[in-house]
Amino acid sequence: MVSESPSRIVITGVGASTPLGNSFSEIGDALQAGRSGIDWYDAGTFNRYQKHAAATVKELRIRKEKDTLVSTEYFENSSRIEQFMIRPASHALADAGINPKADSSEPKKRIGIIAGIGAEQLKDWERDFLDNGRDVFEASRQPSLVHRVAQMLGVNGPATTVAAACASSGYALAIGKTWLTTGLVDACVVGGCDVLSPTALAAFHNLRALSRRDDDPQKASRPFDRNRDGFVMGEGGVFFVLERQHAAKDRQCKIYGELAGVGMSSDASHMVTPCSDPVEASRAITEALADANLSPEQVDYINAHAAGTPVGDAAEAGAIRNAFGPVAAKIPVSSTKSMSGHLISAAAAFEALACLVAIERNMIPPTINLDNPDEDCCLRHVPHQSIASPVHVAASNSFGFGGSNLCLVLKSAA
Amino acid sequence: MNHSLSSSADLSAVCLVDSYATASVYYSDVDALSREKYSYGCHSLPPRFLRHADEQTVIGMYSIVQAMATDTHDSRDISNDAVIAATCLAGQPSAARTMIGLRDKGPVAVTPHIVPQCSLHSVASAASVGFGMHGPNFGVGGGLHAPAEGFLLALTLAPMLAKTSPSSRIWLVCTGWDQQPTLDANGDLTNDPICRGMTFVLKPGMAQTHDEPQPSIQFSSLKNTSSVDILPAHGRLKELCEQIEKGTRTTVAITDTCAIEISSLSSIQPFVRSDDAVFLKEAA
Repeated sequence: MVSESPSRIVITGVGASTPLGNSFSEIGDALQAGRSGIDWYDAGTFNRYQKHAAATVKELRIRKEKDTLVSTEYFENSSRIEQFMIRPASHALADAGINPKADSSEPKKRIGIIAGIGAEQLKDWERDFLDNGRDVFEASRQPSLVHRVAQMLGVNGPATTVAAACASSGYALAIGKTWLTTGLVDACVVGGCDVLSPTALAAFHNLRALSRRDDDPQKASRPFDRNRDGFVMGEGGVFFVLERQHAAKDRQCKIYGELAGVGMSSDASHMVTPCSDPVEASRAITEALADANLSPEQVDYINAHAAGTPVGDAAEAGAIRNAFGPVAAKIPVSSTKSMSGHLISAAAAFEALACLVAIERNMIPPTINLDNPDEDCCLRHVPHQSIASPVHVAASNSFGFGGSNLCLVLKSAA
Repeated sequence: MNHSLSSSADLSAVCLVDSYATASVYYSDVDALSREKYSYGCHSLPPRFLRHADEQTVIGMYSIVQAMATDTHDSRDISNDAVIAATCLAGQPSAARTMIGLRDKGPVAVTPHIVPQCSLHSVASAASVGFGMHGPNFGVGGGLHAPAEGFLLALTLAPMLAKTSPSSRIWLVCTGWDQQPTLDANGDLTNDPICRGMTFVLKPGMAQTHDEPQPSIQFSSLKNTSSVDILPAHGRLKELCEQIEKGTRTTVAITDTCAIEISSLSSIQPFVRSDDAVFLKEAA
């Protein structure tokens, strides 16, 4: 059996392209202000019959001086989903002070990369199809996005894509932690990305998973509210650099926080609908706390998965109460999807970032639009406005189609 | 084992192979195979469970049932087991038809099953839901490195699973096409490619020293290896299956210096169903 390194795993770099901003501080400001990134979205010619609320990334470009790993030409010729990986991943490496291409150490640092992406090929085929291409009719075997980006960034360690639906990027963080703990890599770029597409919007709409409120898009995402009627899709990418704590301290780089614990389980109940029995979801939370060697009383903030679906939010509230017991009534809970929308494959990474913001600013981001909390979702909510509160430990839940449950525990580095 | 991958590397993770199975089916037979009864011992899929499933899910589930049949622990509890599914370009025929429908009839023609049934996580989720496995389930790969990534993730998950659920095992399911399907403008196939599945039932374990070790997978170093038998990380599932079925030791590259070694599986007898010929024609 692998003997575990005593070293803790910490986050030393952050990169993001999201509906709430393109940097840690921009996103932090939006979360603190309770600002929504949701607006009307034009799904294009092929989805012309529906008007959707959605959270899009308005500005997606790179700055030459910071992105030394990426040529502007390469970036501009890349697909949108590729840009949602290239930009955040290269920014995270730059933020951590790591340039794999300029590594002169011997032996070289082994850097891995793990991307949470649920349906990369579907998005590629769709983009090509909409441009009258034939890729979906005559698909060729090619490396997945993560391998192409790894090569471009000069990342020399193992690379992989993982998918657990809406928990995908959380699994990337969980696996990255293990790669570091076992010494497979010296640093690991982890996160996820996703992109809005006409097919995905139509599919989720036809599943009746999306909100159908057509009055005000910024009111459409209302997790835990009695009048919630589905989620609002979003897009973007969020990546981190993970390192062992002693290595990060040796390099004297900024430490955003510690990835202290991970827990994973499956409902094994239904391919789409969350299980109403909270046992498995709460097991993921309990395992994450055990992995972090923390008790429920030590958690200062819970970033809920709560996407705004009637069944899912109530199921999660039950899982939180089950895992935390009586303490659940005291821990502030919010769903940042009320502001960011649901970033699907990138959601768990975005919400880990929200937890890091909460830790850095000692601030609990709010659940906006929570006008009438549903009694089936009884928790200590933080409606409408952020609150100042010490945050040393934050837990972030993510649940996905196919019954995947994941909880990450993040801790201040202090 | 070479631990020079990093200064503090401890790549001693090992998974013992309790069982394995390979399976293949022509595209034209997938529909019939999806209507089969998927059961072995006390484990079975609910009726019509695969009616919306992608081709790679169907063959993946079929290989799981075959692996159950060769499992030396076939009556054991699998309720806390984990599933990792490494698929390569899954969902292509369904994606083509969905996009044609979207173009011609609008969003109402988009099947809601495209997301849960044709995504990278779909095979793993189907196995977890269908057979009641409550351990972690996730998909890996998606592109041509998928089988290598599957073995890498199995070894990655092993120490984690051993810590949280010591009696649990990992069901690693790899699927892919020998040749990708080609479709005409109506979304009908113009070829009849073979879809392949391979399942390993893995027990996180200890490196062995006794004379007759149980087959296993573990990390190895490529630094001092010049063997021509190493399968590249982007190798086809077909070649991997053929290599494993030969009963020889198989090495799959992960990076320039790191590989995964699959010891000879000759001590495990693959299970062959008596009615295989109904669905599994002789591969060309």
